[in-house]
Amino acid sequence: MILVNKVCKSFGLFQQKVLHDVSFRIEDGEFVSLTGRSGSGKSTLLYIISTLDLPTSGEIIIDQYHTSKSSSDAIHHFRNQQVGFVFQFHYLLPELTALENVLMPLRKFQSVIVNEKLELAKILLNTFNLEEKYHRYPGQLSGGEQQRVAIARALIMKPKYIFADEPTGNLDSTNGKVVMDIFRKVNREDKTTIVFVTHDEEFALMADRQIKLADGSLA
Amino acid sequence: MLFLAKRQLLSRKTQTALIVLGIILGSAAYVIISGMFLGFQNYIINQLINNDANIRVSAHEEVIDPKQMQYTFFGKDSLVNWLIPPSGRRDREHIENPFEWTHRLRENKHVAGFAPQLVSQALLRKGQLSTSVTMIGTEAKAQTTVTNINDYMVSGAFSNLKSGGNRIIIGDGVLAKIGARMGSTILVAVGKSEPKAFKIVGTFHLGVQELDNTTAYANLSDVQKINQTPNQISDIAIRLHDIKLAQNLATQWSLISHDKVQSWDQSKANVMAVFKTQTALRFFMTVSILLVASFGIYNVLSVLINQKKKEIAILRAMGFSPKEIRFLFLYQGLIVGILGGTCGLILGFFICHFIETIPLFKDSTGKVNHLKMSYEWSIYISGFLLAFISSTIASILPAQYASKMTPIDIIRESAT
Repeated sequence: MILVNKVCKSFGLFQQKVLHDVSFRIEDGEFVSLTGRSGSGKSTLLYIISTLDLPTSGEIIIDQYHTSKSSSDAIHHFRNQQVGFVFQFHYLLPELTALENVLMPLRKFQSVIVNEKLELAKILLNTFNLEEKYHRYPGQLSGGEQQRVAIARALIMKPKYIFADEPTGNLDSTNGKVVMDIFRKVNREDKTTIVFVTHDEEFALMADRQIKLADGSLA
Repeated sequence: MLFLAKRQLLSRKTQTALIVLGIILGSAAYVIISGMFLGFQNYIINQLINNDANIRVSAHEEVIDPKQMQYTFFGKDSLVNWLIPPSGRRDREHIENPFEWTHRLRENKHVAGFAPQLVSQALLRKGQLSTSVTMIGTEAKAQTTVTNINDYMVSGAFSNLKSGGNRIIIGDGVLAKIGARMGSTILVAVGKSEPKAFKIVGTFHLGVQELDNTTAYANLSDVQKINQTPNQISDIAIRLHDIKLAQNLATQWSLISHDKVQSWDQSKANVMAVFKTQTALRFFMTVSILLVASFGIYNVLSVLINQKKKEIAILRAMGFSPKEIRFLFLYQGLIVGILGGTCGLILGFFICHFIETIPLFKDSTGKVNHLKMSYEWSIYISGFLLAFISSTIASILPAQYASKMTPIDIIRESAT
């Protein structure tokens, strides 16, 4: 469960407010879209609820973790074990193959990857039709393929939460649809809570619930 | 993180190779320069020290101190104004208790050998030609346990002095100065005594001109006779098993004896000062070279971190801590330092071997000289440490900078 309580966020020298008293709750297993116009604060809100950023005021409680009060070690551990991220620009590590990229989160605690996890990574890549691309480097993959590798990487730890910032923003409509279908499937089959930011109405409608933001407040 | 550090290094092979090359050159230069300097120092030490004593006990000499005189004659509380302050030197020409020294040195496990000597200034003459020398009266067998003189004999053997009978061994420079040759009889005069005839039974060449031109050896009893000081010795030359103990033992012995006791490095303080300057110079040169290589590491890592911001962001999003990000870049600097340092030491070692084979010049005995190189393990350890420490320092700052980046700042920055 994610509890967002009176969250405010200000930036810059003049403390320009980007989020104003935002409060809501996301239950486990929900598939939620964060929508709004450009500059509405949806990405900022996503980073705050996903523990990547801290609110200026207010509180976020995610799985009993009070993000402002928890130790940084606890947050890093939680992020590694329970959270998967997907970004618009994939952010794959260019010196690693697709398979190695998927396995990267495991390396926080394991210097040697066990066979069981290697098999899981291959299954994930197979599920996303990347069985021929295990040993390709990101530079040898298309944008859609890179994004699917990034999703496989987000899923390798079997996280409870997936946060995605414009996951389809850099893809054509066909690849965008593929990505959203994957999210839908993961949410249904694994009961993973998925929160994604999008400005695409069609994709936003695929979510169980839409949280709309306008000028930093819930619309 | 070590896994990713290695992959990042391998993904930019040319850049990595260039930095490693910088470190290799720095470490190799250190090994070569140190090998040359230390080789030279060891050669000089070998020439100076192995042909002399590790510790020398000599007759006491004391400069007269006016204050001491004042205390002795007038008491401590008196005020004395000297019209002409007493001055001069109180020397004893011989060691006061040689038997006590003999006993002490025989009992000491650190002493490899010792040779009692009577050292005196002498005038050697053959026909019209003459030269003054330092005449060392010694026991042939004992002398060879103290110095390596046997290795430097050009003609004859040092053991020819064993039986006495007015025999003399002189440096080849002395031989040339008086126009004598092996087997010649020359006249030796010490002080006011009548010159005595001595037969040249050997010549040596130490390679140190000031010794080869001014040194002569004779049997101890012969020198005592000509010097008219029977049974007296002026010096005891001591050889130790471990030369490093020389200074400590000399200091210890000087506290319990009235005689002057000096270790080889105390008596050759000026030479040691030159060596210290050389060592400082060697370090400055190497540090300069490694500094350039370290700047290479620093620059490359700084540029790399700016290029890798997005990757840092995703690693942080995956739960990698700032400490792990710091190690990602620190490892890269360390790998480059360790690899470059090790290869540099190996390269330096082989270059040292090569340099040693280059013939330089022939000395007066016709022997071809080569540069003397040192292969002391301390050179290799300090060379490795220099490479390791400089690359660590060069990596710490960029790595620290990378660890302070927050994922959200990078994401915001790349979004704008």
